[in-house]
Amino acid sequence: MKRIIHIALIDLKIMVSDKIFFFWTLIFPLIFIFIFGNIYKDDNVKAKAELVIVNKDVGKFGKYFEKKIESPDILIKSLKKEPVDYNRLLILPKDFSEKIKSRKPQQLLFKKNSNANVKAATQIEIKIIQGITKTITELLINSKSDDFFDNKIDFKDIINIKTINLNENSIKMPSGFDHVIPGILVQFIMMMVLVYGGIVVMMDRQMGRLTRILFSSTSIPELWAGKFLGRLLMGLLQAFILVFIGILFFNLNLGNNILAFLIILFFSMAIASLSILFGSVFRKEDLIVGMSVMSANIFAALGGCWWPIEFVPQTFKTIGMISPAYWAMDGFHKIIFFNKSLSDITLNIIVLLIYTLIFTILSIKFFKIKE
Amino acid sequence: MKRIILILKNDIKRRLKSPLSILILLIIPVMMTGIIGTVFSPSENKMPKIRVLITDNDKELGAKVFIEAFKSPQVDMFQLELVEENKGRELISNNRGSALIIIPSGFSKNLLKKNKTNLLLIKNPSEQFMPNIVEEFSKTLSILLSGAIQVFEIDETLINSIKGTNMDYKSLITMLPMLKKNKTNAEKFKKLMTYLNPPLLEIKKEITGKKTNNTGINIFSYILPGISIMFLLFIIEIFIRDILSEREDGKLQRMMFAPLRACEYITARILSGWIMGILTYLIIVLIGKLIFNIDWGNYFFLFILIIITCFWIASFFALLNAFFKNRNQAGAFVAPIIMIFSAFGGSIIQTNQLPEAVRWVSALTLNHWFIIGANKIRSNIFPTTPILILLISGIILYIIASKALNKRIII
Repeated sequence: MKRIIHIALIDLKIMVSDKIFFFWTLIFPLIFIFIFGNIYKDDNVKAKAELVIVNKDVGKFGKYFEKKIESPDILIKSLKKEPVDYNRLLILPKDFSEKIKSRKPQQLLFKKNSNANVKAATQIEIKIIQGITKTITELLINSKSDDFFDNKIDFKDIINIKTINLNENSIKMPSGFDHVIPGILVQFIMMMVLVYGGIVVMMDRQMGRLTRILFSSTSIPELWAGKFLGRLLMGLLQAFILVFIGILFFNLNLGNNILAFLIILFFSMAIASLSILFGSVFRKEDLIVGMSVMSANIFAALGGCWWPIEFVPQTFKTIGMISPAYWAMDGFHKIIFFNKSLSDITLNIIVLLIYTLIFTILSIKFFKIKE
Repeated sequence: MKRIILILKNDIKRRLKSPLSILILLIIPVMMTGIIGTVFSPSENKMPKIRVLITDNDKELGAKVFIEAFKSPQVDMFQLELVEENKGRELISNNRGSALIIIPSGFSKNLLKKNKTNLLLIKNPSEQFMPNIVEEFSKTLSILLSGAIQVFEIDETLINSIKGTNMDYKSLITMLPMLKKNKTNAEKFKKLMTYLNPPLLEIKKEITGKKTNNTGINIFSYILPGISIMFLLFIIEIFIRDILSEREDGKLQRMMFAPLRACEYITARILSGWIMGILTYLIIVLIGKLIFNIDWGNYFFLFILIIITCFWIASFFALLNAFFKNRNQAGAFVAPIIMIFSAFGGSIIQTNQLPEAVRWVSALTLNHWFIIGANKIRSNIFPTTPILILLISGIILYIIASKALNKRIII
C-alpha cells in the first residue's frame, strides 16, 4: 500500500508542479463559472431587464401606460427622444392619448436590439402585454365616466402568484451558480484527469520510468493501482479546488456534502481508469490531448454539463445516458435540488462503478510497461 | 524562393504522414457543432413541451378557466396533468414536472367577491427556464382573469350553470353567450370586442442592430465558425511550434549550416503554418457544406477572410514562439491564450451573452473578428472592417515576429 501511495503522490506532484496547472484547474474553470453563471443567473436576484420608453405622447395616457408596464423585474427609462444605443425600446407616439380616447386601434413600435439579451426582451414583451391588458380592463371598467382620469377605478391584481419552495425547510432556492458549478466541475475533472493522467502514463512508459519502477519490489498490479490512485487524487483535487472556490465566492450549495463527495469520488474513479486506458493506448502527446478534449467535451455535452437539461430533446437525453457525466450530473441534481438521500443516488453510484469496472478491465488489458 | 518551397514541401509531406492529431482537432469542432446544433435546433418538434402539474382544490369556474387556458391550442407549449398535491410534490421532487400550481379551495368564490387570492407555484429547482415560463404565463393569465372579473358581472347563476359540466376550451367559448345575457355584460362585451378586433393597442416588433438579409436559419452556420476558429488556432499553433522543436532537436542548427538565410527559414515556417491553416479551414468549410448544409455566403469573400485569418494566426504564433524557450513553455502558455481568446471572442458563447463589463475584451481577439466576418459574408456583405483589422494587425505581427525570430535563430 505504501508503494501505491508513493506512486500516486509522485504523479500528483508532477501534475501540480506543471507551470500551467493553476490555469487549467483554477483560472480557466473560474472564467467558465463567471461567464456561464452570468448567463444562467439566479432568477431570484436577477438583474432587471431594461426598457427605454420614448414617450412622445402629448396627453395623459402615455405616462399612465408607463405606470401600467412598471414591474419590480424591469427598469424603465423614460425619454423624449430616441437614443442611439438601446437594448429594448418602446415608442409611444404623439397621438397615443388621442387614439385611446377616440378608441382607435394603434400599433406601438417595440424595437429589440439583436445583440441584446433575448430572455430580457421576452420578459419585457410579456410586461407590455400585461400592461395592455390592464389598460384595456381599466378602459372597460371606467367606460361610463366622462373623464377617464377623474375618479378612476384602478385595476386590481386579484390573483397573486405566490412561489413557494418544494422543500419547506430548504433555506434558499438554488442559484445560477448552483446549476453551473457542478457542470463545470464534472467537465474539468474529465479534462484534467484525462489529459494529465494520460500524458503521464504515456511519458512514464516512453521514458522507461515504468520499467525502472518494476526493478524495485513494486509489482505490476501495484504500479497500476498507484497510477489509478494518482489519477483519482487528481480528480479529487480538481473537485476540491472548484468546490472550495464555489463555496467561498459563489455561495455554492451542494446539499448533502457527504453524498456530493461520493458522487465526485465514484465519477473520478471512472475517469481515472479511462485516463490510464488513454495513456496506454495512445503513443503521442498531441493524440492524448486531442482524444481527451474530444471525449471530455462529448461526455460533458451529452451529460448535461453545458446547458440546462430541460432544453434537451428526449432522444438526446436518452443518448446522454451513455455518458458517465450524465450519471454524475443527475446525482448532483438529486442532491442539490431535491435533498435526496443515499438510497436515491444508489443507481448513479452503481452505474459509475460499472463504468469504472469496464475502463479498469480495458486499461489493465492495454496497460504496457514498454513501447 | 526555391529553398522556402522545399521546406514547405517537406512540412506538408511530414504532416500527411501522421495526420491523426490534426484530424482529431478537425473532428472535435464538427462533433461539437453537431451536438450543440442538434440540441438547439429550432425545429418545433424537438423542443420538449413544458410539463405543468396542477392541483385543483377549487373545482369551480375560476379554476376551470385557469386550467383550460393552459390547454389552449394557441399556446400549445404545455403538457398539463391534474394531480393531487402530494402526488404533484412527489413528481416535482423526482424531476418529472417543471412546475406545480396549487389552486386553493375557495379560489372561485374569492374571485367572485373580488377578494385577493393566492395561487401557489412550486418550481422545479433543477430547471432554470421552463418553470419561469410557467410563472410568467400564470401571471399573465391572472391579470386576464382579474381583468375579466372586474369588467363583467359574474354571478352565482352563471357559476351554477357551469358547475359539474366537463368543460373544455371550446365550451368556454360557448359560455360567452351566457355572459351576454346580462345587459351590462352584453354592453361591456360589445365594447371589449371593439377593443380587441382590431386591437386597440398592439405591439409591432422590430429587430434592430442587424443589417442581414438571411433567408432561413441554419443554426449550424452560427455555431461552426465560432468553434472551428478555436480549433484552427490550435492546429496552426502545432505547425508553427516546429520552430521550437527544430531548435530543440538541433535540426535548425543543421539547416543553418546549409545555404539558407534566417529570414528564408522564418518565411517558410510562417508560410507553412499559413498554407496548412488555409487547407485545414477549407476542409471545415467543405464539411460544413456537406454535413450541415451551411450556406457560407460568398465563397470568394470567405476565401479572403480565411487567407487573412490564417496569416494572422501564423504571424501571431510565430511571434509568441520567438519568446518561448522550449516546447514545454509554449505548451504552457499557448493553450490558455487560445482558450481565453475563445471564451471572450465568441467561440464558446456569443459575445452579447458575456457580462457587459468584459465585452470590450472580445474586440481584442481574433475569434471575434473572424466570427463577425463570417456572419457578414453569410449575409453576402463584404466584411471590410474585420478584414482590415485582421490584415493590418497581422502585418504588424508578422514584421515584429520576423525581427524577433531572426534574433533567436541566428547562431
